[in-house]
Amino acid sequence: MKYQVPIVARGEVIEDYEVTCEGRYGASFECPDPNKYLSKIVLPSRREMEALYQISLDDVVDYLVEFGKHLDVDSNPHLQWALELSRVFNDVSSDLVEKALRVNQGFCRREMLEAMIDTVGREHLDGWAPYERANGRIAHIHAFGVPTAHVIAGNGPAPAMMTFVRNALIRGYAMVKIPSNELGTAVAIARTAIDMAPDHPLTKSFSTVYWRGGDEKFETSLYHPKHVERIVAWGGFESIKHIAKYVRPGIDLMAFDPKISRSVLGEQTFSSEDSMREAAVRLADDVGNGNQNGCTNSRVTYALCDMSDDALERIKLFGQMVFDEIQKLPEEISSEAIHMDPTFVSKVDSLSLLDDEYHVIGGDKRGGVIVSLLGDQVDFADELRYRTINIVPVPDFDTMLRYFTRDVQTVGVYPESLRDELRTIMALHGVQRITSLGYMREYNASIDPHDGNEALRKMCTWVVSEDCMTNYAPALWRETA
Amino acid sequence: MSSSHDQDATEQFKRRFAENPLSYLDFPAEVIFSVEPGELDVIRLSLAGEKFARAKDSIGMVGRMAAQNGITEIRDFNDLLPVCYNQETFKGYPQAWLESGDFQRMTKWLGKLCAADLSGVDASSCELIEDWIRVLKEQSDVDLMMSAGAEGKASFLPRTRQEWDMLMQVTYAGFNRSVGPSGESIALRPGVDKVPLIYPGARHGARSWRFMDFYEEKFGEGTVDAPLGYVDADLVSLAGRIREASRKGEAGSLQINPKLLERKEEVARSNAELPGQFMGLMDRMINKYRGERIIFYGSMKMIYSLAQQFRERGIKGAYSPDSFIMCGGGFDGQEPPPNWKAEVMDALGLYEGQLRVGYGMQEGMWAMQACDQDKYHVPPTIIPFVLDEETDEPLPRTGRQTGRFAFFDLLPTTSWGGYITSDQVTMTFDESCACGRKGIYIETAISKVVSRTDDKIGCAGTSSAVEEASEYLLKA
Repeated sequence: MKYQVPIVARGEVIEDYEVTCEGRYGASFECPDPNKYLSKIVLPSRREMEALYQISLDDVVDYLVEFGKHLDVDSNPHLQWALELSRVFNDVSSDLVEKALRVNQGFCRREMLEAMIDTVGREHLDGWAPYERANGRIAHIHAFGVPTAHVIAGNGPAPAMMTFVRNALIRGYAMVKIPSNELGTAVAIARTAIDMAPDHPLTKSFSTVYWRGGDEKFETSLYHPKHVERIVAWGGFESIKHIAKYVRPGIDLMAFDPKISRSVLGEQTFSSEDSMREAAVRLADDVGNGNQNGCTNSRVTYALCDMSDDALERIKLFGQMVFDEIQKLPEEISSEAIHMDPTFVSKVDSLSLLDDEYHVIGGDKRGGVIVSLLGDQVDFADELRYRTINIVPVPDFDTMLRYFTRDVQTVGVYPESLRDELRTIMALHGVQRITSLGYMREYNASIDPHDGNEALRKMCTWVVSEDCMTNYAPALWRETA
Repeated sequence: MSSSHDQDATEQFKRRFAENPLSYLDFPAEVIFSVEPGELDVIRLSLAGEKFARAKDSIGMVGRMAAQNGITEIRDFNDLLPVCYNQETFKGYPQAWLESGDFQRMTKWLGKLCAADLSGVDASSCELIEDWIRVLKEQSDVDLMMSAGAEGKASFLPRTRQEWDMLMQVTYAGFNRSVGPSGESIALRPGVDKVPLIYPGARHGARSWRFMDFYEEKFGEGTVDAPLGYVDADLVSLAGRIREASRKGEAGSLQINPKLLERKEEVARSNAELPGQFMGLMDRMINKYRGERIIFYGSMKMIYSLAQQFRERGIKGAYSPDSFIMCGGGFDGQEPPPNWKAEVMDALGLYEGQLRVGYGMQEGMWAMQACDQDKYHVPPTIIPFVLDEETDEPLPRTGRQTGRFAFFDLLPTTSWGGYITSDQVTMTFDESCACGRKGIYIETAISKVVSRTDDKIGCAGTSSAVEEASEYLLKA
């Protein structure tokens, strides 16, 4: 089977497959040489963007709503192709990818789009919003999209879709670097737009290209202030480190750092069988959804307790409940691991042999629960995967809070009263989102702050146009005259 | 063509090898590598099967892996793979135990990795890794090997004294059967020869190369020159922890024991002394040992740089021609300079064959030396595997395969022989080498397995500090 990933450059599909790239798990794919087509990928002139501003924000919203209707996986051949690629190249099962592709339609619901617009202010996206200042000067503020490179995460189809919608709403020009672990979705979106409205300026303002991350020849050419004003980068140290090389005056870096999430269980959780069951069902979803590939997955749960033998026994029992509930998660939400990294398995195996100190349930393709009986979080807590949760009994808040840093995105808390009690102090420790246990995947970073950022506002370049004459604002020359 | 005499030797080798794999050392390479690969496989499969049968009940970790993967017996070489250790196995203990000096628990953990009986070891008085190593040595057969790689956490390899002894014999045989240009033996004579063994590492401490002790015992005190690096296991561990904490940023620095951190000045001092120690060693190699017979174990890079210094000074034939130069490690991942071997031979002035390129690792009780065709011949004591680098699935044992190297070592008696490495090798399974040896061989170009996921981006993880290695905490 031959896999081919085209470049989509400003509404044009380029299928000149010259380069063979090593993908994951031994599979390879072909794509055009990005260096050859750089001039098609970048804007020839900023004048190309004028068409985006000859339409209204309502036109943009209408376009996106209509676009959403074309995202039916059952009838859209491009999405079917993306799904096919995901079977070979993604880390997660194609069931999960399919589910996520179906959810993508939700990004184009009118109320969703309006809520996203509200985070910036319709007045700033649709035109020049006037603000009268104290000295009489009238400032007209308009948020603009600019030529932007998007280095998106590939742990699912959502980042590609979010990027398409965000870019359209702010009317920017997006050049998306296709991630090697999610080759299809961005291209499928671009091609769907071409099928729907080939000449629409929004269709022409979303380009997608694969190049090998770190390809200096291409990156040095692309990441130049004449082509790119902003780089929106998702991803880890290595990814940001090599992008950071290109950041200079004229290029702004907006980084979505990798994050981890955790859970907190109050002592009341273990007071009854019912509350244990309730918490287990919810925690299982936080651990297992999307196969624990995302930042919004719990990897460590702190269980407040008196550390007595009785309490630890109840926590072991709770661990079993969580494990059982993980097994019950529906296929399209969560599934057994496909490839397991043997070094990860070794880490869990080591702990499972230390049964006085760690109580390990599972620890295989089904997932695992590691209860740290001495109260120490496991050394590889941040790398837990394949639906593996570390439950750490803690005697008090302070013991738990020392583990909370700015790397922690979401904390899911049970019960509700504890959540509000802890939220300010957790925020001060760097946590960016506090929610009810079991609701981690309900995160809507398009509307709510995204990893501590107001993403859509930050993706805009904010321009002020001033009127100093209407009110004869004072000026130095006026006073001395 | 094999003579009938050779055939007898081959038969005798097969018989003795089947009883005791270490007996291969009693046979010359021509005999060892004259066995038909298929026949050797039958013997090795049976030996591995016996090892596994014992280990699944006597080694906790092997039992666990066997149960997890449903392995009850070894019917096929590939049955060994699910029960192989890897680089994580030797550092699977919780870091908190090391930080708090909980060596009772560390002992319990170590006991799960090998069949050595550690139940009688009382490590409750140990405060530091050095204490622990001493107590293990006094109260059990384990003479612990320790290392700390770039990723920070210290690895502990539970080799017993008996295993070290075997390994010494393997290493010793690796050079001491040599012959000179007219076929005369140039083996070192204990009690007669006092040849300096030069090794650019630390002489003592838990990570030191045990062969140096063996060598001094055999050839006399003061015959080893190994002046570099940390001698103290706790400093090795601290240096690793500092590297790890630096990389992990805030989350990392939270985990480091303040008491251990007090010794960071010593790490800084040791780091600062290293270049001077290295220059001192180079100076001795250029001046003090000139014209002498030496044994050198070190990197190709170092020996090449030494040869270049001789060349710049117009010196040829710097050492006695019967010196032994053993090198490995390559040129930091770069292509070797063309003619590097000829240049080294010329500057150092060695007999043909006395410059040897080798491959080995502390997780295995084997060493390979490149033949005159530049191939490493896999010794009969290991069953080699080539694995797919992504999935760790075994590649066919036919033709020429490139991938992750794994092996099952038949020599260990209490520790476990199965190990999946992080090296990428190219192995030829079913074609004899032009040097005349039969059996499996490996190309000398060996590199680390590089993750193909370098441009794979996910949103899960933690950010890392930008500072390089030890800088961040050492300055703090």
